[in-house]
Amino acid sequence: MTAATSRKPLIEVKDLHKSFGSLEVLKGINVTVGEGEVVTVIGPSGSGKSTFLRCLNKLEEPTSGTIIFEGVDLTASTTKIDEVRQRIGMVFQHFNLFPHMTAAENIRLAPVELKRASKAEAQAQAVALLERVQLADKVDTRPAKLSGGQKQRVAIARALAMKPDVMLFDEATSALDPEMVGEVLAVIRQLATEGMTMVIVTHEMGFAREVSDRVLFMAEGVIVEQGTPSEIFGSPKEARTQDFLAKVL
Amino acid sequence: MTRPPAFPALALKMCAALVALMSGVIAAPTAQAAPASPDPALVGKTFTIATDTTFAPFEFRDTGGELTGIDMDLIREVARRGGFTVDITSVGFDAALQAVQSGQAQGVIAGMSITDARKKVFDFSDPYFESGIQMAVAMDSSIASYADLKGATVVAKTGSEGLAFAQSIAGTYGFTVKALAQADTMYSEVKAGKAVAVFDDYPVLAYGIKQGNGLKAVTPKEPAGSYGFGVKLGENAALLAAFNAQLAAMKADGAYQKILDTYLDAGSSPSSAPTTSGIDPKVQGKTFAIATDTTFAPFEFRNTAGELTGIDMDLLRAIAKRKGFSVDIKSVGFDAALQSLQADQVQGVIAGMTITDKRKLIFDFSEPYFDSGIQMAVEENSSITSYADLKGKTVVAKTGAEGLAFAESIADQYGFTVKALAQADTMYSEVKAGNAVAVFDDYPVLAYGIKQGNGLKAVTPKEAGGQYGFAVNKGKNADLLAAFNAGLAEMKADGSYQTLIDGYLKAPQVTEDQNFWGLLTSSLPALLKGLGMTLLATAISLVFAAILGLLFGFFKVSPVRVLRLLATVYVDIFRGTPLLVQAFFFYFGLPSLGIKLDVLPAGILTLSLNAGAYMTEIVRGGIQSIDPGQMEASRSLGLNWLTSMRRVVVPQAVKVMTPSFINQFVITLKDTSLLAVLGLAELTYQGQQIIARNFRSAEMWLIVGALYLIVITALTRLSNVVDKKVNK
Repeated sequence: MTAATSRKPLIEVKDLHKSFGSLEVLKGINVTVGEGEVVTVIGPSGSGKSTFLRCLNKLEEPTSGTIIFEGVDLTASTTKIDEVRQRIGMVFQHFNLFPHMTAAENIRLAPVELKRASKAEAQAQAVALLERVQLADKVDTRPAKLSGGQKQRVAIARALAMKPDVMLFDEATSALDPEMVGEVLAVIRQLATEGMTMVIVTHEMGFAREVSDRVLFMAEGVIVEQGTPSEIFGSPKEARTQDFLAKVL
Repeated sequence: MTRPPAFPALALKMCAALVALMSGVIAAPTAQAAPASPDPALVGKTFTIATDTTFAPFEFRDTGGELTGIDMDLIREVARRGGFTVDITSVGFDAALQAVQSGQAQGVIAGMSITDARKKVFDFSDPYFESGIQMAVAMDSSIASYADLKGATVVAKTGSEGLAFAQSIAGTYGFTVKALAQADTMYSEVKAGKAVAVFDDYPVLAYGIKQGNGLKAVTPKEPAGSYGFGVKLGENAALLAAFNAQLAAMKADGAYQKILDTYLDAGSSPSSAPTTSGIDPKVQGKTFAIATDTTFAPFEFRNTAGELTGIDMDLLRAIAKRKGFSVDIKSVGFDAALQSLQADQVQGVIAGMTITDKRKLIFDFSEPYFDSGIQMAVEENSSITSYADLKGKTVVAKTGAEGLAFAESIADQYGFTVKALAQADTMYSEVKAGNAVAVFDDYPVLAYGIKQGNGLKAVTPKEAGGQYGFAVNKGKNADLLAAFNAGLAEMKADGSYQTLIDGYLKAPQVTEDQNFWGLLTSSLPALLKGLGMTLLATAISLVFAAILGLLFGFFKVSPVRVLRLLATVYVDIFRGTPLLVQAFFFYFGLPSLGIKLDVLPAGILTLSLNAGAYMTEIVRGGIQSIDPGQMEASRSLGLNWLTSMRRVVVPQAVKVMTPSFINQFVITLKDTSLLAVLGLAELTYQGQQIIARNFRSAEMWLIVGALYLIVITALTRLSNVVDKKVNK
């Protein structure tokens, strides 16, 4: 199993283990994500995809192993995780928008709190980002008045406001009604074409095949197989990969 | 020490009937010149003797758990010398008295004062101990006399002679008296500096001082009751005689003194009170000390302004004015008034006192100034108009009163049942509640109550009863007595006497307390003052509680283990103990740690810490009710924990918490009522004070309850409106 890439490495994961109590969810993950690379992670439920993704910005504390991001070891106790997270954007399955704030307030919260921008600058940026995700008319709308697809696009804009070096998508379309999946995927697709480094956990096989530079297939806490979309979807080598794809395609 | 008698109702009825039959018989036995040798009739016998559980130094358990004390040593020595055995049963004061009355014990020795009331049901031995009131102060205090008390606060035990004495001189020396129910509380107050002195029975004080309670006695002892050994009236005469004989022998051979010295410091029992007697040829320009009862409306009682007033007071003052002398009224209670007179501490007594043959032996009485008598009263709407209408019914009367004796004397004839009650207000309540159809009581007392609007009406003519007289000590102050008689005759002649009496008994409804609205308007100023205190204590407490709740609430959800532990301990302590215990600790306990708090600060501290614990849980619950995804989303943007809390979690949690906050606010407001026990002058306390004066429990608690309801409902509505405006 090789992390075949010629790009400059942005994230290097070495022998990552994660246990919840006696249950070992990640059993030694080794993978490198290069700059500008789009990596999708597929696999059956309970395979550890989301846990792996959440370890990358330390929403989950790894049990052992190292995660090097832009040359900094996230698992070192001296690392200031809040500073690192400013460069790692994350989008959640359930959006997690702040319900007491408007779309623009959601987006400008972090830049203003972290002194990246004045309130006026952050507002201008928020409006620009909302235009970018086709929601220019929802600047002052609260999340409760938005559809699922709209919420997720605001959540993406919120993550982008910190100008991250990488975006993590944790099943970003799983909680959406089918007719709204497309509008979210369109935004992600656009980010891909703009050269954003992304790690995407998804059940949308067609989208993974279309947008990925590389696909990781995970099962039972390990990366079973990885390769280009055509390798994984066209001629999977491992039996577990074949079984899984046979079921979902 | 005078403790309230608590006999079984049945025994009381029997005894009262007995007294009625034996009126005029002097029950107190005289000391026999018995030899100190054992009475053969008693030798080898065993007597059960009942006593109190703890009344140091008379009876208490030593460190080994053995019952010891003056009473115990005394009775055991008496038994040893008399050749009989005693089986001591330590059951508590009231129970000890009941045990003797019911025949379960043959005698009682329990630091019991010999009183007239008790003589009706007990035969007493010769006094074996002369008690007396003494004042004690903190060891390092510079107070040495009553005069040093000016402007200060002293404490005494509720219902005790010490309290009556302190109150009787409070006006003269310009100090404040605070009554407390618990002896230990009382000493704590002095040690904590909340009061400068304590008035108590001297042996009790002396013993405490000897035990190192940090006080010192500074005044000579004032005369108070004598303690006696008691047996049931008319029974166990041989035992009583043996006690008297051996007591005399023990006094003679020094054994008695030795026992006393064991428990009381030899030097700390000053000689008996100074006597202030003196016969003056004329009264003009002189000041006489006159003792009276504390409360016997309408003869003497305190009006709404707290001044001593009533028929006796007005009459005496009017006569004094006419005859050109001054009076110094000492309101000490009935028994104490009589004792003060006998001790020549006062020159006269006017206290609604019936002139009896027995009293005539020791007092000289004036001409009767009031003819009392028993009357029957019934509920306002009752159809009962005569004794004959009582057939098969139940009536009530006051324990030990003439009304009871009269009612019982005619009960068989008219076929009704008599129930004796100790409290006047209970008695009237029973009639109003329909539990009894009529009440028998002294007619002036009835008339005054009816005038105050107690909802009864008098229906029978008054039965001939006792006559009240002004008394001086036998053979003394004849000039004062003559002046009183002359003044009374003048007042009767010119009609001012009748005007005075009518003012209390016959005038139309002029008092505030007549009806519900009168009651409401007269009590409202005090109640509103109390309500203000309630709101003040609530508001300040809630501010602190909110701060504590936020602080510890955040501790509870913080990632730091030590903080979570700290918050858990705080909440466990204050949720796991009663608010009242916390209040007692902060008010009475902290001073011993060197922290002195007044009632209000102590109350606020208690409520703040208590409500703070509940607020902590509200805050914790509110924060934990917010989806963890909110915190994750905020942290994933690079915001730290505190900023995430402040900007994302807390604003959402506040909405969730608001109803619980309003609820806690209401609970804390109501909890302030518990602080009434510390004497915080809040709404409930004010209600209690008013009821103590007018006995209108039902109306007053209804009003107090209504005030709470109105305020809480209004504030809750307001809170909800604000909640909706802010948290929409």
